Parts: sequence; structure tokens; C-alpha cells
Amino acid sequence: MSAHQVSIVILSLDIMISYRRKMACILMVGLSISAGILVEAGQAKAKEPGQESLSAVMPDDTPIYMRINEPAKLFLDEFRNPIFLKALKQIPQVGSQMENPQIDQVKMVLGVLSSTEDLSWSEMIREILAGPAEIAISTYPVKLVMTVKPKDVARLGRLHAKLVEFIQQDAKNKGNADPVKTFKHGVTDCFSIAPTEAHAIFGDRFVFASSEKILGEALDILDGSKPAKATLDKEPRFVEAVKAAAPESRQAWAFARMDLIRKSNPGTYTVPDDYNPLLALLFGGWVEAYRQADWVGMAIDWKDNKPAIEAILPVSAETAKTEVRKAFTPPKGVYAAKPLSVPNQLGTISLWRDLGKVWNIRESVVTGPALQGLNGLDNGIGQFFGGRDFGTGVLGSLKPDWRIVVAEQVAKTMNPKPDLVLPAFAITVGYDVKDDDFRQRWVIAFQSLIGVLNVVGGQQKAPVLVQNQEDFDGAKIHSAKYLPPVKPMKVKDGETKPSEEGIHIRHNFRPTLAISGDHLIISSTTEMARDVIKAIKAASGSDTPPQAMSVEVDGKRIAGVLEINHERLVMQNMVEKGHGKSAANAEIGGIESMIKALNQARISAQDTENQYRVKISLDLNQVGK
Amino acid sequence: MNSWLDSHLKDPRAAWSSHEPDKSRPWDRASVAHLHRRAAFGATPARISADLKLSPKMAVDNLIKGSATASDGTSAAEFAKFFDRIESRLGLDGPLRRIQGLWVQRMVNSPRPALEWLTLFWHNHFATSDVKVQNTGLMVAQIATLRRHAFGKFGVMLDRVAKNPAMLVWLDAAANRRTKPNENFAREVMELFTLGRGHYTEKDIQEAARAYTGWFVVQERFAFLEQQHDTGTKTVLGQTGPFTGEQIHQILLKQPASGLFLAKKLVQHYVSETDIFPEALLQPLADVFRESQGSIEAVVRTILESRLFHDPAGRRRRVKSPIEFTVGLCRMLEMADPMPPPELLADSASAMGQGLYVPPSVAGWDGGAAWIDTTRLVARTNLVLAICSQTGPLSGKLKLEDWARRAGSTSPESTADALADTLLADSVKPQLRLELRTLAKTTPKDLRPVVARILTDPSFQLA
Repeated sequence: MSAHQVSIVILSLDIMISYRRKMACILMVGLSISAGILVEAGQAKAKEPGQESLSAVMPDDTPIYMRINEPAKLFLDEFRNPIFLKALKQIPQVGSQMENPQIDQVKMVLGVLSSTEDLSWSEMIREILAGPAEIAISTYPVKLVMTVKPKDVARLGRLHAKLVEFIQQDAKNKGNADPVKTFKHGVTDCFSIAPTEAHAIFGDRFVFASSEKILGEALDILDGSKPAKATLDKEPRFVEAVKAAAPESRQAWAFARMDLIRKSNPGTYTVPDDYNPLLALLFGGWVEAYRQADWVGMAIDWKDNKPAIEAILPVSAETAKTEVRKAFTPPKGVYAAKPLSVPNQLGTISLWRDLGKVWNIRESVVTGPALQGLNGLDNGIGQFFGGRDFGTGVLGSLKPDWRIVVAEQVAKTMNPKPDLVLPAFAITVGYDVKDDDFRQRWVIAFQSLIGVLNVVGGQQKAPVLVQNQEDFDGAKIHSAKYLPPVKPMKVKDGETKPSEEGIHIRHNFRPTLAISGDHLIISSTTEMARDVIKAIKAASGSDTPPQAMSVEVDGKRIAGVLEINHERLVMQNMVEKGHGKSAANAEIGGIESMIKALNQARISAQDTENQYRVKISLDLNQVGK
Repeated sequence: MNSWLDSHLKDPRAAWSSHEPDKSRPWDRASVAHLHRRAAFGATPARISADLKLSPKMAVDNLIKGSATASDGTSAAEFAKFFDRIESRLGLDGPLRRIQGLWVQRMVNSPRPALEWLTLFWHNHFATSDVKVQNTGLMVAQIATLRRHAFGKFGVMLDRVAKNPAMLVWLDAAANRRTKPNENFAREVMELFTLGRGHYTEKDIQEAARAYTGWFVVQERFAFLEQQHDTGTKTVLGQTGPFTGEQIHQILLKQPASGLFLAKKLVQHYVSETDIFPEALLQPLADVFRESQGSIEAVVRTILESRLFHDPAGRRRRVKSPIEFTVGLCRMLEMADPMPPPELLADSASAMGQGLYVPPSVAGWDGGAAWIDTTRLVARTNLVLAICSQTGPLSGKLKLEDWARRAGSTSPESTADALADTLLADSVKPQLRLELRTLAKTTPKDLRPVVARILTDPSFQLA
């Protein structure tokens, strides 16, 4: 279970129970909790009733299942790692919750409780959450069952009894009714302190459910008195997901039956047909896979302050045969090019994408106005390319090795320095160098586009772009630059203090087309185009394993860019959200710190015959450095 | 003739003389609320209490000067500087709704609401729309000019506005060539900005247009291209010479009609937009305008301090404009920091018929009864419900417990009374007061229904 899910559990409790009950509830949940959960999926061996993995006893139509192999390690060692906490505190909403005095109160009560067993509160939690922890959730209506295996179930029993005693005594001292409801299910003692919470110690584990009834049902399953006809661990989708993720080697793993979730709540977890067409062209394959997928797997690995989360989507045999799939997936043994590396880099993306093929199947991934827009693009852009067909003649003449780099512009070297300094970016892709007409068409298209922009700008009395050409390192660069702003004209009886005026955002851009060998480079600035020319020639780039896509992001440097534009972002925050200056400052500062805390982030994607895998990895080691 | 103006018409000079409170016309909470409602979007209970201790003249003086600090605690100077910077920065490249939101935010938070109120008046007077200008940076710069000169000398403001790039683009005068003088620009200067219809001839327009030749907009700046200026002799309103555009303005402002024209527009803004003010009643204000060399502040002070302005019969003779309504409720309910998202408030005002920076024509907004047709009233109600709702982007900013504490209320009923007194002042009827108290008793822990009832009451739509 993720921290977010834990929050949801706690927030749900928050809504449903009074403060005092909530405190007790948090403790109860904390005893099992923090949420994680479960069993050794798919690995159930013959065990005594109450000792099997939850997946081995829950019915096969359980839509959501999660497990954390060593919850104490994850929650006490990794989540409570100062580096991670520091990063977490940067998120305003989370940060304020972390300052919540109730947390100290919970710690205090835990301290008192643990002292009865001569343990510190963390030692107590470590014993209770020895693991594994498992959660099974049914949706609509939500039914939650959570189990966790403590190190010493007898000790758990004593601690639980003591906690119940504390709660009852506290209520008595305050003249309140006993908040703890006790009841028997079979021979098992059960407890409840809120309508949405019930728990019991059963066999070697602590069982928590979202109501008395659900607890009863769970205990019936666990003790074998009312076993499921077919269990989750035998469900083919679950088996496939386990095989793909190897949950026993992960710190946490989650499985969701998308077919059941979508069926029980139509319209949810679907992708709208009219989503961003650019995203559709770039990532439509993944979206289609998600649309078709009847399960999704998610795994967390967290070692040495390097958390990583991996999502796995199955590709069915039918999907694999489709043109959409073929258009988005590289042939076997073909991968994205090595990512480029440029000075002051904020991020770099390398992507295998045959846009010519994707264009041909656009009607399958884009609909409605977006599709009309793309068809309009076909006509409009085609004109710039001497009537070439946009799909086959333009996109089809490009190679599939797309690389994008984004880098910080050095503000102090910019003249004029715009009020909002934006990063520079460049896209480069290969083309058939023998196709000289194609190269010429690109140059003409670029120059035509600048001409159109100048006509529009002229109508609005705005500055125009001045074109330039240069040779650089064997490459040809075609660029354009806005005329610098003129100073306000003085008037005779003029104002002693002219109004303060900023420099327009347009001065971030010096649109550039460069052609270097068999590579086209489209860049927002000429400087960036030069850097990319050098980067391509140097064949520089990080050493990454073969994959269909890789993304690397430098959080610290991105935070630096945000800091440069801090005042501007504060202003935007004020007008967008209605915040005062101090509140806007705090929010933007928090975002900057949070992004800085991400440090190096890497996203990689692998497309195999029957799976899509996307992995996001972070390195928290450099936080604060 | 309007009955309430009849008595003032007998002695126009006395009508505009300083109001001295007496038993029949006391300086009470209703009077203070009236002053703030008409000149500054409305007042909080604390502000009303504070002004009650002053004379009307001092209250007007404070109103025009503004508070020393803004709602966020920064000094008025710092506040103005920060917002000037925001507007000049975000206005440069922001979308229209962003600059609309920024101005709404400034109006709600400003320590000088009277200045924003008057700037809004000038925005209507020198109505320019981004629909045609298509340049938010120029639009923001124009409003900055209006704000800077709002209380200053009208002649200076006229010169500045006439050379404002947004105005020149708006009136198709961004390239005023010697061979093709722009008569449209000259016509609007006379008809809409200074004299009004009937006080000039077509010949005057043609001649004045020659004086404006050489005025251009180049790269978003005003530029005077000397070679394009007609240096020949022109005859305008009986005066002859090689006039420039600035000199035309001086000629226009010396016309008796200009003082009357501006006095009438200011009276419509501050006093009544439905009553007809005879020239004789306006003449004293025109005299103040002339004697003060065109000081706008002098005319505004005269109006706000006058017996006529403080005549209780003159209250609620204006329909609140959408911006007045929106900003007013935020200020009076002290929803400033945080406030509902300003861009959404600006959107709401647009839905009610008043999009900032996009007046419908050179003549500005129609105003008056046009603000409250069926559709626009629904839009007003929608805003109120959104603000008083439990969910939604405009909700959650109404902190009534804090408001009640500051207002000194001790019970739900007294809070309902305080809300009614602040928002409706002397227009709250006994029956409505009873209804509000009953409502407060029904939902004592949540008085948002009381607020919603007040804000949707017909009397809250009037100023």
C-alpha cells in the first residue's frame, strides 16, 4: 500500500469517527498498517488455516490486491529516512500534515504502550509490522481486508489488550461511553471502534476490515469455514501478473483487475477519445494497451535511497497483431537512440517512434476535433513542403530516432533578458541525407513560417523576426531573432517616472532550424541548436540499457530554473488561486524544493511482445546537496 | 423633473456645498456605507465604525488618499509597486483572463479602492477593447496610465491616453499619415472624451485630424514621425494655428462644454445614472473643473462631500455593475487573502456582462438597467451560490466565523444582523431582517445561506 493509500485510509477514518476514536483507530491501523499488506502471492503452500497468503484464500474476483514483503523496513527505514522525509516535507499539503500535533500525540501513546513491553515505539512497530502485509480490496462498494503478520503474535495480543484498556480508561475518565465494541465471530474475539473499522487477531496475523460484516466474511474465508470457490492466486491474470513482476523480490507490489473495475464502474479509468493529439501520436500505443489491458501491475523497489516504481501492462495476442501496436513498437532488437547530453541540461528524451506509420493509423488513436485538427495539419503543413503528403512525404521521410533535449538558458547572458526565462529545447531526428529535395523543403518551410509570423506580428504592431544563416561545425543553421524592444518615447510634458515595463516572453525564442549531416534539428534557440550539433557529433549521452524510450530529468536544475522565475510564478499563483503574496510564496517555494528533492529522475520504457513496462526511478541521495 | 433633485435645483451651488450633518441628515452608518458603496466598492464593519468617528469631509479625504497598508500588511506604496510589476510582467504575454483576474485581485486587495473605482470609470470613459487590440501588454499599460492620472489633471491624462498605443490601435490610428488624416480618432476625442455631441462641427474634426498626423505605433510604442506630420495651419473651434495633437487637447479643454461633459459623466458614476441632471445643476461642478485647471480630484471631492451626494433620497439610484458587485462582495465580506480565484471572479463578471478590458464599443458599457436582464441576474446568482457553496473552485474563502468575530457579533442572529447592516445598510427591511435571523437560527453553525440570501436580494444589486 502506498503512503497515499494510507492517507486515504486515515482520511476516511477522519471523516467517519470522532477525534478520540480516530486516535485509537490510527493506533490500530498503525499496529498493522501503515498500510501495506499481504501475502506471498502465488506462492501459497499448504499451511494451517489462517496462515495462507491472502491471495490464496480471497476469491478470484478480488479486483485489487497489494502486498508489502517487509512493511517495517519500508515504513520505518525507507519512508522515515531523513532524506525522504525532507523531500516529503516540501510538498505543502503533506508538509502541513507532518507538522500535525496529532502525530506527536500518537507517538506519545505508542511510547506508553511500547513501554509496557520494554520496547521503544519504533521497536514495537517493527515487531508488529514484521510482515508481510497484504490488502485485498473490492470496489463498489468498497470492502477492505488487510492482514499483517507480526513477529510475535502473543506480544501483539498483549499490546492490543493494553491499548483497548487505555482507550476504555480514557473514555471512562471523561465520562464517555465505552468506545470499544467487542464481539465474537466463531471463537475469535473481534473489536471495533468505529462503524468503518473492525479487527481481530487470527492465527498468526492481525486482521483489519472496513466493517464488522466484512471482518466476519474475511475470518470465514481465512479459517476455511466458507472458502472461496476459486481463489485469486489461481486466477490466470493474477498468475500472469505475478510472473511478470516477481513480487517476492519486490518491496511492494499491487495488482488491479481493470476488467472488473471498469465493469463495476463504467466510465472510470478509461481514457477519453479526445485526449491531447500530440500525446496520442507519441504515446498512443501505451494508451491503447491500457485501454485493452485487463490487469495492471505496479511494483515498488526502494534501496539505497533510490526509490523506483514500475508499471506493467499486458499486451494481449489480439492487441499485438493490430496496426496500432505495430506502429508504436520497435522491431525486435531495435531501440531508441542514445540520449543526447547538452550543457545546462534539464532533461533529455530519446524515443523510438515511426511517425510515418503512426500518422497512417491516427484515426485509431485520435478522434473528433483532434483528428480534424491533424487532418488540417496534413493540408496546412503539406503546403510548406511543396505539396508533399504530410504522412508519407514528410513524416515518412524521417527516421524513428527522435531525441529531445531541454536545457536552462543562462539568464545573465541573455540580451534582452525576458521577464520570464524559459528553458530552451530542441528536437532532432534523422532523415535520408540523399533526399536533397526534402532538406530544401525544410529550409523553405522554416523561412515561410517565419514570414507568416512576421505578417501576423506586423498586424499587431508587434516586433518582427529577423532571419539569419550561419555555418557551424559543418552544419547549416537557419535562425530568426526578434528585434529588441525600443525604449519608450519621451513626451514633452513627460512623466518623471515611466511605467515599469518587462521584457516580453517572446525574447526567449530564437527559432532555429539546423541541418547537421543526416540530422534535422528544430530548436527554440540558436545556441541550443549549436549544442545539439556538437552533442550529436560527440555521440555523447548517458549509458542506458536498450529500451524503447528513456527520459532523464535533473530535478535540481529544474528547481533552479523555477527559482530564477520565482517572483513571476508567485504572481501567477496569486492570480490563479487567489492567494496572498505570502501564501503564494510558500506554495511556489514548496514546489521548487520538492522538485529539487527529486534530484535525478529517470523514466524508462520497455516494449516487449506481450508487455509494456514503464519504470520511474529517483535518486534521493543528493537531496540538499 | 425628479422630485429628489428638485430641492437641489433651486440652489445648485448649495447642492454641491459641503454636507454638514444634522438631525435630519445624520452622519450615521448608513451614510458612511453609502459613501463607500458609491466610491469604493463598499466597506467592512470596521471601516464604517472608523469613519463614523470622522467628519464627512475627513472620511472623503481618507477615502481618496486610501489606507496606509493593504490587507496583506504591506504598505500602500509597496502594494502598488508590486501590483504594477505583476501587471506589467504578466500583462506582457498573459492571456486576457489573466489580466482581468489581476485587476479584480487588485481591486479586492487595494488599500486605495477609491482609486480603483475611479480607474474603472476611466476604463469606461476611454473604452478600449482587447478584442481588437489583441495585445494584453498594451491593454495593461493603458489601465496603468488611467490609474496614474485617475485623480490628476484631466488634460494630462487626455494627452497620455491619446498617445497610448492600445488606444491608437483601437481607433485605427496606429499609422496617422499626413496624406490620410484619421478623422475617426479626432471624432472620438471630441465626442467621447471631451465635449460630447453637438459641440463641434465636421470641419473641426477634419482640421483636428490633421493635427494628429505623424502619430504612429511602432513596435508597440507611440512614435511621432515628424515627416508624417501636417505642419500646416488648422482652424479648430474658432482657433487657428499650426496645431499639434496636444495643442488640440488644450483647445478642447478650454471649451465650456468640456467641463459640463465631464461633470455629467462623473455625476452619473458617483450619484445617479437614472436621473437627468440639468445643466444648471452641473454648472457648479464645471466651474470647479475649470477653476482647478482640470483637476479630477477637485471635482470628485466636491461631489463626495456635497449635500446632494449625502441626500438619503439619492441612495440606491445606481445598479451595481458586475465588477462593482463582484469586488464589493469580496471586500465587504473580507475575502481578500485568500480570495476566490481572481480569474474565475473575472470570468463571472464577464458572464454578468462586464468583461474587463473588453468593453463592447467605444462608448463603453450601457450600464444601468442593462446590467440586470434575466440572463445576467442568473449569472449574479450563480456567482453567489458558487461562493457560498461547500465545494467548487470559488468556495471555501468565505470565513464567516472570522468575519463575525471582527464585526463583534456574539450569536448567529447578531451575525445575520451585522451581515445585513454591512451588505444592505439602510435598505434592509424588517421582514427581511426577520427572515435572516430565522435562517441563522436554522443553521447557526453555517451562515452561508444567510449570506446567499442577502447577496441575491434586489437591494444588494443597487448602490
